[in-house]
Amino acid sequence: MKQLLLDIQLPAKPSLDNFLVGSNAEAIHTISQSLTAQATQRFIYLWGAPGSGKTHLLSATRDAAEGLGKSLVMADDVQDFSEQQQIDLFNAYNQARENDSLVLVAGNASPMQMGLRDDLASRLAWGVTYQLHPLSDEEKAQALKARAKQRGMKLPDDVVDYCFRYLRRDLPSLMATLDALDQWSLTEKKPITVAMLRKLIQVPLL
Amino acid sequence: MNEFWSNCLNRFQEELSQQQFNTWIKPLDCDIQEANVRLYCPNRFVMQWVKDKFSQQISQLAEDYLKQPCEIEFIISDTKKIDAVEPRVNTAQEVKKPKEVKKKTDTKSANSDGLNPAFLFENFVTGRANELARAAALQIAEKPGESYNPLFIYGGVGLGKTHLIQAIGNFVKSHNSEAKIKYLHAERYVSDVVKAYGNKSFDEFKKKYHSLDLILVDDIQFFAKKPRTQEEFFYVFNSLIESKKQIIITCDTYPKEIADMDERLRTRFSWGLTVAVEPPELEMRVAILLKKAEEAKVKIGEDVAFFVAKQIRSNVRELEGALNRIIAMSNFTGREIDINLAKEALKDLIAVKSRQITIENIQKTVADYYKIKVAEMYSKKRTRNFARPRQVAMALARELTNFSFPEIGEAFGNRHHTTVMHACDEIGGMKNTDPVLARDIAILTQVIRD
Repeated sequence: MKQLLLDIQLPAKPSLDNFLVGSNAEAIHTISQSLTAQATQRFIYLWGAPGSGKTHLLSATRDAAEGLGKSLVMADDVQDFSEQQQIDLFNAYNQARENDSLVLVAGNASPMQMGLRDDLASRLAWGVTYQLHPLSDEEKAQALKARAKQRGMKLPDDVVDYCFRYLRRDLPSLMATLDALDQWSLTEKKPITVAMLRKLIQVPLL
Repeated sequence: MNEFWSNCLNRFQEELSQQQFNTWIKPLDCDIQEANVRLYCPNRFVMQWVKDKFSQQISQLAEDYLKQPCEIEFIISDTKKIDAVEPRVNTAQEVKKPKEVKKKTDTKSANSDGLNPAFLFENFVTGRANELARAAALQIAEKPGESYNPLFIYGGVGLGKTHLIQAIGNFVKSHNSEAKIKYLHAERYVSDVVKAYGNKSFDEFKKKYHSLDLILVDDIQFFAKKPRTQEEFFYVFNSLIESKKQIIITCDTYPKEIADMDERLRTRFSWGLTVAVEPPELEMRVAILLKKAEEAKVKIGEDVAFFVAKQIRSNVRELEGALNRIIAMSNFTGREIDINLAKEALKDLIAVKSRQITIENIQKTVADYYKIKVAEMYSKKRTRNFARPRQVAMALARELTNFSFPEIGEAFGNRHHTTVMHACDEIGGMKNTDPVLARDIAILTQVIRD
């Protein structure tokens, strides 16, 4: 029997445009603004649970800043920083204040709550701080449906429900699954159903 | 203006810091009819504050003046007559302006002195927490090298140490354009030393540092565990002191407490004047927010400033961060800044902060700090090295939680509530006379609230 294969591709390169804002609209706006000449905030700290989009935003901002030739100081997962890394970031931060660079740092809690050096933590709190809120399942389902609609694919509700019940629910995984399903359905010229999905995912996903 | 009120103004101007005076007293207006003194306040926040803090003093002054018992009536009114203080302040600012503009262009072209022209005495918000440090800084700025040398300023993070010493640098520079000034973060000095070693360029290094008229070194605790840096700085220090050049240092703790620092340096650091900056009290935090909003050309009401200042107590940077967030939200939504917007903007922050402070947490923090066992908080031992931390913890529990004296007593090994009251009185009194204890409490307060 021919093995059914779900060809799950790596998700698209993160950008500021393909970030699903959910309830984080202001944070995204501030980040986008910080890259423009009218920037009012140059020091941005993001925190939130895993999957809330910190790394996506960081790497999107890095790409955007590179494209614009803007100098950017960036640090992810600052809660895990060693003493020396913290001192390095502290120095980079001070330097950035002097020479008009952008600073974007992310961690798993608000600046003063991670047990970092006080001098670093208070600097992270100095600019503008956003807690990123992960998308709710509902928002993610909407995002999936919107994407399906955009691609002209038929995505029955029970398939969406099935995905949320049995698959990884972080958005990149969900989106990748959706794309793979679309690809499969186009090649095989078959509609997407729960029964089909169930068969397909017997091949381990991701 | 009536004679009574101008007397009052003079009195308060002498007693209060400029900032406090400008925030609370200057906006008031007053008239007297027979034994009835009416105070006109611009809004209810000022009114409440003045009522709480100053009404007793004002009524005392009024009684002395009228020579009869009198009554003070508080009225909210936004039509304040222009008083005599106003024009003087204005002209002073006008005179200063051109100089500031010039300074800015200067530093843009040659920024080698490390000074940021935005840090001035004029925009340094003063209150009880930092007025001593400010006074010392100003005195030294006026006569560098002639009074206290070195000036050693210590305190927690984000309390304005850098602003203050930068202000000294800018002041000296504006009065003597020939002066060789160098502001640098300790970390920069460390890397300069490393570079000089690597390139064997010590002559250059010496020339650079030993010829200065004023050196401002920020966060000297970063010299810890760096013996070569410490040694080089020791030579710079001696050479500058000898030639009566001013040295100014900031640190996160007082000289004797700096960890991993050469004893010779520690001793030298306390040769001159050592002053502390403490976390700002509520009224000062309000003043800071109003000032920062003004600098950002944003209008915020005093109710908003009070709201924010009540939520964020630990350090000025966090305070500014909160204001930044409010401004960002207002920009994003196009809404005016009011108390509702502020609440919304700081929702996440407040959720984190409102983590309840517990007595257990205070006991643990204090015990850690004084390196004793938590059990000593409940024990009956009365030796000084246990009793004092216990008293500190009681006083902090009183100040930082809403528990009653009996409840606190119970949490400290079932002690009688009068024991707790006594501890609070004693610590409260000692705070004013014992700078080490005052500092301990300031640090503990900051740690517990964070």
